[in-house]
Amino acid sequence: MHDWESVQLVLEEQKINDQDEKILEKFLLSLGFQERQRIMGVLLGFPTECIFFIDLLKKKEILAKNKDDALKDEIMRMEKDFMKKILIDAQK
Amino acid sequence: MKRFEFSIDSPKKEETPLAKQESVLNLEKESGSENLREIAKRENILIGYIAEKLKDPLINAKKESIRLLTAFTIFMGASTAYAEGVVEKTELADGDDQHIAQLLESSKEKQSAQFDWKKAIEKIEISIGGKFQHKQEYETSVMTPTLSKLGNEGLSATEYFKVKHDDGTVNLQPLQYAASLTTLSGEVQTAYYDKDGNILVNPEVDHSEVETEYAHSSAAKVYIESIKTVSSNGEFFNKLKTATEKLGAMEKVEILQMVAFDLNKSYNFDMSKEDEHYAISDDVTLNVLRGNYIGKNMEDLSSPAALGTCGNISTYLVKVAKSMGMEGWLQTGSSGGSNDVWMGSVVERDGKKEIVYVTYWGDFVPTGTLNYKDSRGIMERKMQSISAFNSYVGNEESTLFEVASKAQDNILDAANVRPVGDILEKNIAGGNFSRDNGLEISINPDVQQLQFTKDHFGLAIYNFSDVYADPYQSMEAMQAIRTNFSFNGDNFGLEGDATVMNISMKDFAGSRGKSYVDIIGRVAGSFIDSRELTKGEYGKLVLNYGTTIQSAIKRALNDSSLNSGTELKMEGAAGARLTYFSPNDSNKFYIGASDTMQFQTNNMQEQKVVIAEGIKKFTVGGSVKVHEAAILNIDAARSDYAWGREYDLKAEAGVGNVVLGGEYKTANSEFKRFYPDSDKVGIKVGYKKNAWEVDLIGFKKTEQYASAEKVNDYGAEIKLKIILWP
Repeated sequence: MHDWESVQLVLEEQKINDQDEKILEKFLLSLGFQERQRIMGVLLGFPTECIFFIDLLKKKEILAKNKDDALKDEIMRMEKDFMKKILIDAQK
Repeated sequence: MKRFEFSIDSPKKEETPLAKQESVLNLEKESGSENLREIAKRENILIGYIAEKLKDPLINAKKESIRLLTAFTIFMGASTAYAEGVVEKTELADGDDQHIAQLLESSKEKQSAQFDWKKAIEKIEISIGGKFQHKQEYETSVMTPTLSKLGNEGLSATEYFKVKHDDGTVNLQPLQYAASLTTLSGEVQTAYYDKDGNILVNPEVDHSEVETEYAHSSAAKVYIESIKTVSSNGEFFNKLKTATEKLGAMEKVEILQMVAFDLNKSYNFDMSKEDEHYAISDDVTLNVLRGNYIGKNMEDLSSPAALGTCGNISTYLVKVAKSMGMEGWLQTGSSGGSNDVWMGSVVERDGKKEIVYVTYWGDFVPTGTLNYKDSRGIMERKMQSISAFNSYVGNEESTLFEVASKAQDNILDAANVRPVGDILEKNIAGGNFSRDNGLEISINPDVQQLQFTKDHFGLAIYNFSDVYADPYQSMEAMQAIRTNFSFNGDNFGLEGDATVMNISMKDFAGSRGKSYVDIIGRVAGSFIDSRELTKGEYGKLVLNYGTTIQSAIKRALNDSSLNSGTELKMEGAAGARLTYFSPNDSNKFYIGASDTMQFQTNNMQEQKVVIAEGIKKFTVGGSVKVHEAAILNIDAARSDYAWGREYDLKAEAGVGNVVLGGEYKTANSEFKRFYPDSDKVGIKVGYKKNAWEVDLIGFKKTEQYASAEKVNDYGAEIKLKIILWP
């Protein structure tokens, strides 16, 4: 079972500031147990991707407050590019 | 290899947006809900698209890539839903995370993967350890029973006889014992043996011509005079009590040896072969004993009345010892591969007390120590075999508890036979069945282990050699290979091991002794369940509960012993743990309890299998975030054993990358002869960095057995953990 303390250690290693940590914590708390465990697992397993995940989360929060087609397109592009990167990595 | 070209078109503008819902994050401005819904819809398309692409055989996706992809799709959907605030408890847009995981992982399963060590070995753990051990030296010795002679009136009618040799010479030889032999033609003959166990040829018995030699043993005199003058067992014990008051400890031991020697003449081989044991009354035993000295002639001696087996004889020996004011208890074990029982006591020799054993045929085995665990090693060397599951201490009325020897600990470790309570604790602590894949390497001066686990199966190699030259370690060397399986569902789990081990015993003189092969099998079945009792703004309460049963068997590869050397172990445990999680999961506190039961024999005479209570354990602990980068874990446990009580307190603090830990364990024994009072203090300093971890562990242990001085022991260990994949 993954715990929040371990995630915090990863976030500290990745120099994530307290404000961003709070954003992530709030997001994780909104999830059910299984979903939270899975995502905490990936944060622990891929520490270098934490920044990307938090960045994406923050952008979505901003978009929720203000309609912004440009931001929407940027988010979709980020998600597409990230998936593309993983698939290419998978073939190496 | 042809590279997969990734290409995803942007969503078409004419796609119909979903019905607008208000965002919980913003009610005044024009919210981005519509944007988020478009993203959500696009994300669903992406997930389906990726799942399809993964079926492409050209994409030989690595497991870690699939894992990251799965996790990212879950994160992607959950974060959109969270930002959108459309549901109180976030649910993914298109099914739950299990659905997505299955979708992607089943796509991966269609691929034919080549063997890849990186995939197979996901984690490597290396630990290197060592301990400081007091150099112990002890030279083993054994004293066999001797026939003692008291003079004409006390002389057994069968102690001396003439032997005519082929060259015509005649001499006298002491008769050690006689027995019936059936020849190939079916004729029953009486055979006579000399003191070395050789069958004597053409013995002629003429006691009138014998000038008896007298040993003048006061112990023998007391014993035989007592035997000849009493009419009941109670009278015999009373007589021994008064008559042995002035005898020394070794003279009393001599009496024990004589009793054992005389009773062993009536050993009941049928009872042993049929494995049907029953209690024999003291009066019946006494009558058999008296038969050696009263009203016996050669014919009677050559076909003695059947009495009992090792358990009956040794139980009577304990009673004899106690009647003489000595300590006495029973110990089960293995003798040449067969199950056996012998008696134990404490005597003072040369001003030093020590644990001693007397076998049911009268051998006296001093051990030179008051450390009970150590003393068992001397008997293992004497018996040239080690028990895995049959090492119980008992008194004349009942079987009490197990005391494992050092070698037995190694055997159980190699066969992965852990206490059933430990398996249960692991299950209910996590609320699930967890199993780490990877390679574990452990290197200690005396033990080297390599264990590889992959999904449902595992393989382990265990090597032991007695580098400390410890006289109380009965094994010179041991090599074992173990296969392991584990199948777990949500609520039920099944695990097992099959181990083949080659054991090289240390003989009684200290060099390499007998070698033999044992096979040990183990199966454990577990049930666990978890209930979230309450959940709200003040946190949640989770109850994990479960039960585990474990059965193990040991059998020699070539079992040619008279009685069965097969040993069985059956035990079960049930327990529960209630855990409180604070709202952000940063703090948690738990209380737990478990109880174990095991099958063991009722006593050493009847040897009926009964259920006995094992360990009652109460645990309490917590994990607290003391400040931003420091977490404190505290665990306390109280364990009630059949022999006493043990308290264990562990604390561990993680500050950044550094882990500091301490442990204090104390045991209060109610049977200090067999389990010592003990205190153990341990300290751990660890450092964690990304994919590796190093721990320095040190401990000091103090033990005190009954009648013994306090003994300190020190140990140190370095553990290095390398994680290739978390």
